[in-house]
Amino acid sequence: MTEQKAIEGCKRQDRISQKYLFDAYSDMMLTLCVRYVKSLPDAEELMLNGFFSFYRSIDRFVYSGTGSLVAWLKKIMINECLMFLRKKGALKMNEERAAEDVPIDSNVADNISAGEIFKLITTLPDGYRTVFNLFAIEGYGHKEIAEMLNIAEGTSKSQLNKARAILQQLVKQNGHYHEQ
Amino acid sequence: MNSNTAEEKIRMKVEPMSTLQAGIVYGHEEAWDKLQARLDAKPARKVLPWYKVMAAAAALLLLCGTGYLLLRDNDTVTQQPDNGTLPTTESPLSQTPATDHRVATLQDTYTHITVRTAPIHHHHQPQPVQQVDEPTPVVLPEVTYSPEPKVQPTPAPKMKVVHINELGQQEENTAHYAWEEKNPFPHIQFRMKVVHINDIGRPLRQEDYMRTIERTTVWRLPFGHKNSMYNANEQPGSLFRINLSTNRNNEKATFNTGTDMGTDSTEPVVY
Repeated sequence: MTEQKAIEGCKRQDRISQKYLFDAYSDMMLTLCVRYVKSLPDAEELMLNGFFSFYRSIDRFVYSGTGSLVAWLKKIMINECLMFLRKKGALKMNEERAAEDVPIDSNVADNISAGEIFKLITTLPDGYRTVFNLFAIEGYGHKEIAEMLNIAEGTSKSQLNKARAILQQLVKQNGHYHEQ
Repeated sequence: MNSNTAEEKIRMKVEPMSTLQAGIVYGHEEAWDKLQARLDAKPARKVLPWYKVMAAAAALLLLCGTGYLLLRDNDTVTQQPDNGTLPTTESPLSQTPATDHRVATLQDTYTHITVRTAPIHHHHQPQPVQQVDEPTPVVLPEVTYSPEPKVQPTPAPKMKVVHINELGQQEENTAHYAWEEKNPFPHIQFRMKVVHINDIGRPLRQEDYMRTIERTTVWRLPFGHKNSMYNANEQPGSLFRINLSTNRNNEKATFNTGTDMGTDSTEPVVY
C-alpha cells in the first residue's frame, strides 16, 4: 500500500489504511510531541488527539507528493502541543527586548548524538524549549513564532537566545564540547 | 530562516528521530486501540450548559413580552376615534343648531365595528359661498313629521311577589313554570305576594324585641370589647326609633321622625 492509496482509504474511513498511516508516522509524531511537552503520557495523548483530528479532517487534505503528509501531520501535532501548553500556562512570557543574536558554537552539535541532544532539549524550560523547537527544528521565523505564541517578535528572539545559551552550557557541562 | 550551522546540524539529527533513538518506550498497539475506539465512538452531543439555556429562555421571554406589549399598545391606539369632538360644557345650547353624528369606522383593525361618536358642534365654521347668478325657486320637499318616535315597549316580565318564607316552596315550581310555559324571562324564578302593611299584624313590641336580643346575644369576652359597639339598647335601623322618655306634661310619646303620632291615651306608646 502506498501513501497516496492509504490517504484515499482514510478518506473512505477505511480502518486498514488508517492503521497503515498510524504505524508509519506515530513514532515520529510521538517524538515530536515529547520534544514539546516533555511528559510521555501527555505526549501520547496529544499524539492520539492529533491523529484523530487528522482522520477527521483528511477530506480537506490534498496530497501533493512525498513529504506533504508528514508536513500536514507535523502541523497538526504542533498545534495540539501548543494548545496544551497554552492551557497549562507554559506560554506566558514576559515581554523582552530583542537581544543580539547569540549563535551556538558549531562544534557543539558535532560530538553529540541525536538522543543526547534530544534529552538536552527536553530539559530546557517550557518557553525556551518551545521557541527553540519552532525556530531551530521546525524552521519557523520569529514573526511566525510570535503570531503562533501570541508574543512579541523581540520576546521570541530573546527566548531563543536564552535557549541557545542554556543548551550550549548544558553541552559543555556534559563533556560533549571539545574546543578546537 | 535559521542560518546557524550548529542548529542545522541539530535539526538534521533531531527531526527524523524515532522513539527508539529518543529512548521512548510506549505501547504502540495500545495507542492504536485507543485511537480506534475513539474513531468508532459516535460524536458526543454537546450539552448546553444550564446558564446558557436560562439566558436564552430569558431573552425569548423578554422578546415575547415586549412584542405583546407593543401589539397591545398599537391596539389601544387604533381604537381611539380620531375624528369627532366632544361637546364643550361652556357652549350654550342655543348655539348648537347643527349637530351631526359622525360614524367613525375603524377600518384598519376592525372592519365590522362602527363607533358612534358624540355629536360634533360646528362653531363658526365658514360655509362655502356659492355664487348664484339667478334666484332659483326653492322647493321644499314634503316632510312628514312625526312628533314622537314610537318606541315599542319591551314586554314587561311577569312577576309574582311572594313572601320570603315561601321562597323554598315556590322555587321548584317556578323553575318548572319557567321552562314548561316557555317564559321569556327565565331568570325570574320567584313569585312574591303583595301584602298590605296593615295586614302584617301587630308590630313587634319593644320589650319582646329586647328579650329576643338578649336571648340570642352571644356572650363576649371582656377584653377587646368596646361598649359602644355592642349596645344592647341599640335598635336595628329597620325598626321605628321610639323615644321612650315619657313626657308627662304632654302625655304623648313622640317618634324620632318628628311626626306627631300621639294618641289620646295617657299611657306612653311603646310601639
